[in-house]
Amino acid sequence: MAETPWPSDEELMQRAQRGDREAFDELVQRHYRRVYQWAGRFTPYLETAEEWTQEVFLRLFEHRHAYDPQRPFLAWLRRVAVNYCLNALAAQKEEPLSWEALEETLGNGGTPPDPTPLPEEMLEREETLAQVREAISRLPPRYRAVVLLRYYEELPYEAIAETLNLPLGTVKTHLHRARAILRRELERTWGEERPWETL
Amino acid sequence: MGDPLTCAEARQRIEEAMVGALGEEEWRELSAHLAGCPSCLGTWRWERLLHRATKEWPLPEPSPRLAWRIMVRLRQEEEVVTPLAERAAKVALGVLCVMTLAGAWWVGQSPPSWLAPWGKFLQAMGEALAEEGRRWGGVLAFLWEAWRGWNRPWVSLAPWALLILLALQGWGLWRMRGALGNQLR
Repeated sequence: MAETPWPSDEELMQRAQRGDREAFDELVQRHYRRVYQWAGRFTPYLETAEEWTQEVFLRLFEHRHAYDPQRPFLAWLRRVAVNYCLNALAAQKEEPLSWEALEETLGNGGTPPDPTPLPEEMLEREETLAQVREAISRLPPRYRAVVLLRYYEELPYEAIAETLNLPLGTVKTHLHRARAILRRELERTWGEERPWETL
Repeated sequence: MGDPLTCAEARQRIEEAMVGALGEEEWRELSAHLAGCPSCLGTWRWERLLHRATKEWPLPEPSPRLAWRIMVRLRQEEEVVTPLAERAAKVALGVLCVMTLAGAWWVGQSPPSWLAPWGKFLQAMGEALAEEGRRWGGVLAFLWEAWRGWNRPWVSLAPWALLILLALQGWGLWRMRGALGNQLR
């Protein structure tokens, strides 16, 4: 196969399968941010997210011959990454302590704070979204994975089922239950207020 | 515009809207339904809330060194899985070379008798190949000369220089490995 100046992920992966280390390095460069962002939605600790990102790429390389070049690389990457995060969470046996850790990290070393004060409604909106994210982070890991794949990745049910290696019906059940839990949790938090109606 | 949507159809459309799968006409039909159906409107708002909350989930950028660290770890892992036999063979060869040359230097005499047949073999090969003008003949002749002259430092200087170079290279690699390990911790 002729090598193109800007090869696709699939071409790079095929070259990596033939032993081309630079091709795999290029894949790392292209996708490490994406994997980190996925990992960061399963753990509030940024160091852990970085560690998981490294592990995901090590596994990708280790199992590179298992990749089918006829299928999209990104779907395979997502599958390896999400399942790694779920397994790592299961191995920890305990849920992350608090997502406040993430907020603190963001305040200290993450995105620089915006010097201009936010309007009140913007603050309320951000607070509402933060409460939703807090509730999502308290979901059981597999429910959380389904919610993130559905709403963040915007994947159809079939792709979620393939990613998590679950039957289609189970994915729908997980999502239905996750939504019910979230609604119950958030209605308990918000009481009579209905902030989502104004977002 | 087609018939108004039923609630079941509207819920399906909401699902599709969340994954960006609605066309313009489908959007219009959904909007018309939501305008007159508080129940589906509530579902729509919940879905939109979840969508926004996940889409706008703030996470800082990873360290710019993360990609580099991943690549370094990949290479370290490869080193770990280098077959043990291969590593052992390299070490044994190195030790053998050093011991042979050091022993010869120490004794300052001709090679031990048990090595003599190999010396003769090399000499015969070198002479044969040199006669034929083959490329490797020169190398073998050089080895033979070093072999014969190992009690004369000026003749066996080349192998010693090579050994020193190899040792320096190994030391450099060892130091680099240590530095990379520190950065990973």
